Amino acid sequence: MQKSSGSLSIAILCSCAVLSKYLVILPEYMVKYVGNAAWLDVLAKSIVALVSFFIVLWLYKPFAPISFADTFSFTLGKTGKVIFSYLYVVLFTIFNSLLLRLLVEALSTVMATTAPDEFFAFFIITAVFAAAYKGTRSTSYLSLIIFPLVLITIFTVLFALAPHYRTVNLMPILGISSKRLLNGIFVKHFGFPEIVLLFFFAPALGSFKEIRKSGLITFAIITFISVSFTLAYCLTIPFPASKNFFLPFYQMTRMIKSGAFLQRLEPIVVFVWTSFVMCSMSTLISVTARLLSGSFKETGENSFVPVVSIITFFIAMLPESESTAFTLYEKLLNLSTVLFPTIPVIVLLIARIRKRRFSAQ
Amino acid sequence: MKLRDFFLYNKSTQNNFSIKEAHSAADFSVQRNEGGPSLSGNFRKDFKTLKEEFSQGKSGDIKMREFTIRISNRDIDAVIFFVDGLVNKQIINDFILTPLMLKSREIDVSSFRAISEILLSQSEFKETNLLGELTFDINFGSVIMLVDGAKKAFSLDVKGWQHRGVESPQTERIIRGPNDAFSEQLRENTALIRHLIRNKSLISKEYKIGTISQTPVSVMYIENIANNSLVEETLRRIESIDVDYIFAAAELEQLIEDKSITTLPQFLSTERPDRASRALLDGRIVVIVDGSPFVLILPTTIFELNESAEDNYLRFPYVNMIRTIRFIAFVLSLLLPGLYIAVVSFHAELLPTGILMSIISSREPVPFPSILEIIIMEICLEIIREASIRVPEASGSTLSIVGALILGQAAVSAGIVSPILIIIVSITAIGSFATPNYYLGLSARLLRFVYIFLGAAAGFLGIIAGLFINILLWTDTKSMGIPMGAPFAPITKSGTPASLYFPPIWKQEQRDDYVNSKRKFRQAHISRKWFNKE
Repeated sequence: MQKSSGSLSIAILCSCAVLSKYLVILPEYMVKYVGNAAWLDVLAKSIVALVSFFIVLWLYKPFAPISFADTFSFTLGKTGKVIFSYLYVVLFTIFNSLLLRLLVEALSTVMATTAPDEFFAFFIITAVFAAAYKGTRSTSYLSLIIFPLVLITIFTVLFALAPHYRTVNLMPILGISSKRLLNGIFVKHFGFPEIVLLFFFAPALGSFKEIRKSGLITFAIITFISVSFTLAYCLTIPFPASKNFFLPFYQMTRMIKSGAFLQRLEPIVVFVWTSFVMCSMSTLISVTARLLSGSFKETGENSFVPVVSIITFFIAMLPESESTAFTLYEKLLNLSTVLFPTIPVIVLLIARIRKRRFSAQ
Repeated sequence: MKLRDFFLYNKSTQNNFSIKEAHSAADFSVQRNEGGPSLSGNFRKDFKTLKEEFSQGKSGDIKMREFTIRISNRDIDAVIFFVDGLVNKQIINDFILTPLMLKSREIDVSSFRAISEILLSQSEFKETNLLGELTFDINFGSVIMLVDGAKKAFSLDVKGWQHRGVESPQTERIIRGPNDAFSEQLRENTALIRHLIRNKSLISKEYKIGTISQTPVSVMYIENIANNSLVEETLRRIESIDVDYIFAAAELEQLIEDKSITTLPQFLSTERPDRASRALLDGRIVVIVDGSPFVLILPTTIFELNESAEDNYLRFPYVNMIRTIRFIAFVLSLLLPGLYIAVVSFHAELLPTGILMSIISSREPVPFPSILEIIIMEICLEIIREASIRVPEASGSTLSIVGALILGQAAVSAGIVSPILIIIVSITAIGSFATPNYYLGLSARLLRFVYIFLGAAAGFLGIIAGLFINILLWTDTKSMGIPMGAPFAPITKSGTPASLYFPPIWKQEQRDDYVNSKRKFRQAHISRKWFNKE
């Protein structure tokens, strides 16, 4: 199978990781920061993230295609590698756990059942665990099947919503205020910090050219989907109304009149999206397990997948309520938006300096 | 797998074969060692040995005939052994015994060489003293002849057992296209393929599988197209099989497949020579087992399991439509009962109030919960289906009536099931019949029960989680090193559009690139030269 296109598979995995948070975060973000200029904000964020990616990529070039985790050991030795690996392990695990919790809360709202959150979380974490246990390659194959389905679902919904688009909903074009918009673009959550995963998958891609190609495909996918989705949301739902909304995709689908049979499509759409989020979570658990295996004597990442999955499940159940989980998730996103590109830039700069010294000696 | 292995990493000891890039180096040849004890050259001693070897006297169907041949004016003792029922006795009488017993006295026979050169006129004539070879030959319809003074025994091919001829396919019927099917005879099957591919590059490697049964197996491939590593791996797997017996391709399939614990078939089986020949021309390998009217095509993918033999004989718009219908049928047969349970139990808001009320009112007299109701009906359906395979033809109509009563108005009137469920189960059954691959249909039948439980437990979430794991396991499965999800998961450079969309015949330029065949193109860039006026 030497003809397989690895860069596209990895790009889709990264895109899943980046886009999965859309289900829960968009309306809250709009209300708090940018108002109905969210689509502009997302577009600007894509450009900022792309520039950051190219800076990191340029710094990473001499080390391609070794994993980003291995550049830690080059920079700060084995101890440094363990510290930085654990930092990412903690970030990814908490990120995954909170996403799981928010997803579970959303699903229990959609299904309107009295079953506890743990019940829904169990189903999700079982599927996620299975994919992570099979490894990144299997997850990438899976995402190659699921991603087009999600894409078709999104664009079918956006197309069906066309009669509800009102350009007046986009006004004022700069949202609540231009200052808040600028603030939102550079420091607030909802950026694309998950793009760092690409550097962890670098060995699978094989060469710098493939990494760059994969990165560009990822940006093309996430920019296209996130901007068109946010624009559709802004066009459909007037900003003041979105203050009371959660699950944008769910709310938008509710507006579609799908005839007498299947009168309300929204559960279907939400569950298709759920499979997308599960791909993202499997990827993060795989990477976390790989980082942990790299810092232990144990050579196989599979050993850590059950442990990470169980920890993720229990952390997800820790927050008292959905709002607590949401606040934590927001803070984590703000932090990771700053950490990427900060950590890679610092680590790679030190690595480059050290490499130059070695070369000079 | 032990619980400890689940948590502790162990380096995989499983076969991890993947097809290498094709190169045009000369193909290797596999030599099968035919050793074992041999005859001594002493007539009396060898006669006794052969009698013991062939269990003559113990087995009623092993026949022996002693006679004399006149050579150099001397009566030489000779004996023939054969299996009654496997040989053509007319040929033995007319072309073996008559020349040897009578003609040898009419003409001047001066040496043993004259036996093969003048007296016997069989096209397949062999001299050997290897006991193993003689035993195989006699069990495969040959006459073994021992002549006093001759250094080796003679093996004469006089096959003549009763068998089915070339008939129409039973499971792959089509409207347009050829209608001949493989039979149980290996040689007839190889001939049917060679009749379609008249090329010297078509290779047929022969094996005998089964220590006791010695079942002939033929591995066919086109030397200039099939990838060497794929051929090597197939031959390696077949050579390494150590079983007492196999009787069918379905058994061999399970002995050479990559992964046993999966519901997905990893090879395509067909009873159509045209389909097997097309696969060979696309760089695949065909395995024929004597005694089986189905041949194996390897490797294959999930998308190919949805293809029918007729696809290649229809115009492309019809094929695309029919393939879509087949896919929908498969999805319905897999998911519909589970989705019904999910909608009724968790997502009632999907249905309009009128239909919902109608479902609720129709379920009112039913004493069982939805899940039990659907499981009872599904089990009944499976019982009827299983019975219909085994029921004598004369009782077929009775079974239809009984089936209609169970899955029909009588069951509804008795208040055992609701009418909507009859519709659901019927659509599911029809969907599974429309699935072109038998194993894929079985897979849907099995997994359907899992989805029913998942739908009942957690609605759409349960079904999504189940599908997630199901697709994961299916795409993770390999067929001779090729991921079953190819060319979509993983994506390959040229294969993706062809698996989703069947192009017109003149646009089917490339072979599937995931097979890594030696010839990338199956036709010229412009195959319709007449179209280009210049």
